[in-house]
Amino acid sequence: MTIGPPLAGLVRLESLLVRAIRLCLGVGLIAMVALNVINAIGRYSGMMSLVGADELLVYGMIWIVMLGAILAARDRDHLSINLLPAGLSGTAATALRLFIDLVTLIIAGFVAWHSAAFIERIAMIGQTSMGLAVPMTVPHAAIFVGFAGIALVTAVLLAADLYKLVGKAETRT
Amino acid sequence: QSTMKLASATINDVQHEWQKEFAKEMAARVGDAVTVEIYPASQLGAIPRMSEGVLLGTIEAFTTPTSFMTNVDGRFQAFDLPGLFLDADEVAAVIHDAEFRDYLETLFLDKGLRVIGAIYNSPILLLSREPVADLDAFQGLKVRTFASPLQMEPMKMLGANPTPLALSEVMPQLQSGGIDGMLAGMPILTAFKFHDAAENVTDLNLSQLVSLTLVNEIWFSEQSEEIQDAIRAAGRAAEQTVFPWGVQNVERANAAWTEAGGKINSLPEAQQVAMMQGFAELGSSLIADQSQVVELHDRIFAILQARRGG
Amino acid sequence: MSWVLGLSIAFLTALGAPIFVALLSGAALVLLLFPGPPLIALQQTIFGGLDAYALLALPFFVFAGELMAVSGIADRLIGLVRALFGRLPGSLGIAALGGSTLIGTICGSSAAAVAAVGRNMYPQLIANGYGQRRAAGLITSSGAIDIVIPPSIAMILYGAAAEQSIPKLFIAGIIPGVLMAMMMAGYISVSALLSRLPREQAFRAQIAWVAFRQAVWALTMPVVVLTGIYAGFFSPTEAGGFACAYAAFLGLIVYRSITFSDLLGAATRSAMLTAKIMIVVAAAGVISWVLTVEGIPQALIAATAEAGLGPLGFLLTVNMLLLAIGCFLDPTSAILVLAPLLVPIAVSLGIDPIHFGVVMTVNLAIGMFTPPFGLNIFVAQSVLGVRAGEIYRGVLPFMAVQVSALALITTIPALSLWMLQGMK
Ligand code: NA
Ligand code: NA
Repeated sequence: MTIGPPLAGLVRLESLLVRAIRLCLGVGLIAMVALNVINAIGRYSGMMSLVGADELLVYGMIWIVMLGAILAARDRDHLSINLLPAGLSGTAATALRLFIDLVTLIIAGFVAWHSAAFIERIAMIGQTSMGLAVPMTVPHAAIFVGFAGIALVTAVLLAADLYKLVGKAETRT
Repeated sequence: QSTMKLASATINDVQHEWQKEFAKEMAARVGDAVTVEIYPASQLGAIPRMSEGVLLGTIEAFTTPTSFMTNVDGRFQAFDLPGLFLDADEVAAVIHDAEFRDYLETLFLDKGLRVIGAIYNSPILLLSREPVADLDAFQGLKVRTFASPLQMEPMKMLGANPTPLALSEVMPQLQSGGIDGMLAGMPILTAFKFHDAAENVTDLNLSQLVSLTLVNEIWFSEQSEEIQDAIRAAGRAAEQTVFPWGVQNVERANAAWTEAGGKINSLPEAQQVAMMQGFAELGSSLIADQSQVVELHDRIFAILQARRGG
Repeated sequence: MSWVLGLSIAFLTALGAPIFVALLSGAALVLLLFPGPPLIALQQTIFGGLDAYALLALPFFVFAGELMAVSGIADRLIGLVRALFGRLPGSLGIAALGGSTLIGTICGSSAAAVAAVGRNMYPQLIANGYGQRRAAGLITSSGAIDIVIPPSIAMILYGAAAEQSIPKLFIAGIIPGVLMAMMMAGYISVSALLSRLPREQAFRAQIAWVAFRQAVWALTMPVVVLTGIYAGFFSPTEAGGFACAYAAFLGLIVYRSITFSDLLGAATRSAMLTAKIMIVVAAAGVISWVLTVEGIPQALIAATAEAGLGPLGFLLTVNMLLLAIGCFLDPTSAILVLAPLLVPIAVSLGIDPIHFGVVMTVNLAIGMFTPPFGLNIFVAQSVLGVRAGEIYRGVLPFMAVQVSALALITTIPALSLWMLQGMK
């Protein structure tokens, strides 16, 4: 089977996006280490206190967690107890995987939906953070982006698996 | 029948006491028509979460020092201005002034919050590893403050080095000497047994902590008129009852502090007076560009002046 | 209601669903079946589970462990331990335990220790005949010591929730933590002797000297980090950042064993592991919140209080309760919810609240690696690439050892309180 040009383009775009997110994660963590060290040195020496450094570090961590969670979902690499999946094979394994993907899709979509509602309301109120005075929508949006992203990549995985399953059934008949 | 969850960050202090009194007052007024549930000690999440919770209605009410609400509405700063109140009685005179209390109740309705409790909490002190008994001792002192100009600027004025720091890091840093001191109220210092890390306290009288109980207005407006009246009356009754309790609680905390081996220092009289004057001037200048805060401050100050003059 | 929660989580986890999916599904189901607070509270509690400064220790120490592995710092330290103690039975296992304990003195996060030690020691243990099961069990269970030995995030939270002195709790944790480590070391030696694991050559001064010279810089790493914490240069959480910076300095400049692209690769891998761990922590926070607003812990504790137990009976009941709760919750959320409820009962029975804090901490630390649920198990599975079944069987003997230690710590308050006698 060959993939048509539009689909190939999408695949290329996706792999580009994944690489960009990976780079963000690595560079982000290194930047957090640097900020943490500079802040501690500044405070101990009494030269400077970076107001809001603690917020920046925590919000950075939250974004890293949620972006990383999308990639982990894409690779089906989230922490789980792998006893049963490892013991199954063939159609049973595929069926189980489909079921798990379906539950993941539903719950991630459910959280993303309510997350969006929350963010909309917090934006209306105009709450800002204590130290940096950034709108609280900025850190909160990480949760929405993360779960919406998990829902999206899981939907794609689910569709791909279903397509394969149907294909198999057709070749058999 | 409805449930009213009351949240706060502390336990066994005046905020918790107000919540218990409020629950009693409510039971006396409406019986079990409203179930009041009390969640002290951040059981429903950290302070920013409780603040969001009451704003969005995931919890019905939140009791907190005003200083943790300034990111929701700048007017909450008006209670925290350095040098504003001289003592607990001045705070009481303002927050229990009938006209002011009515004004305060609906002041934050545009943010979806109604004030149902106004509570005197405690004065802000300086905790330090080394004794601070005169103004010179402030030079270069690393003092943990909130990331708020109302705490940072007064410290700078005294020559100290204000250092905002996450709460979980304060105790280890204080023990190891990474910071020299922190600003806090005495009931907090004794509750968390800070004397194990630093034993000196200086009674700066920088500001008086005022706590408010805020209720989600959407939830409140859904209640029957009878329940609304009961909530308003119960809140006001509870705040009257707990005011003396709160004053005594500060005294109890002071006594517990010295009993545990802690020391309470004060500045020489002349320096204290000069510092308070400096605080007051600084306080007014810090809010000068925020007209709404100035308006609230002027109301508070007018009550204080009338009282001081008389 | 707690049945719906427990069963749905257990069912999905057993099927192999991601842990965070199982936890969130359970919570969502309860919120839909037993309407209480608005569902937007989900966002608030997930965010709240992540919005804590002390959690930064996790990405930092995971990154530091990764850097120690890729730059060869860990290999040099392990080489020294083997040159010095290789003749002793179980020396390499004790080195892994020692590594975990050492990380425990600079870090209060158990999952970070499992990741860092696992990354560095697991291949060595396997290469030396420990076998998957024993090696994985050892690493997964050693992490528990880190929350008992100061500094400890769990104890900071206990202090805050139960109004107890955090410095005193830290000091009270020292002997129990060391006791746990020693009992583990004893077990490792005996079992290595019994199963005739190959021993290495006898101690030779010349070889030890070479190993020492190779490890000199690597040895400065714990020294730098510990000095930094106890001299106040940085806080225990920030220590993780300094550990990363120092490991990067050793790898890039002193040993020249890594390049900038290795550094970036290590950072990316650490960020990914952090994401996988912390999304579980956040989901566990949601469970703890659901339980709290539905009044479950309050009811459990009221029942415990009404049972009319004596101090020892109470402590044993609490131990059982906490070991069970440790299955679902991470210690941080468990302590925040339970400490304010349990401490007043403990005090009324004449139990010292500091001693009680240590008992609670040890208990929840053990709960992190007891099957079937536990953050350390999930982390070990991901970092070591071992199947859950192997880890389950691997941790059992170590669980027995640590539960014995817990029994001693529970029944002999002096183990916790003795070092406090000098203090006022
Ligand atoms: Na530790
Ligand atoms: Na467990």
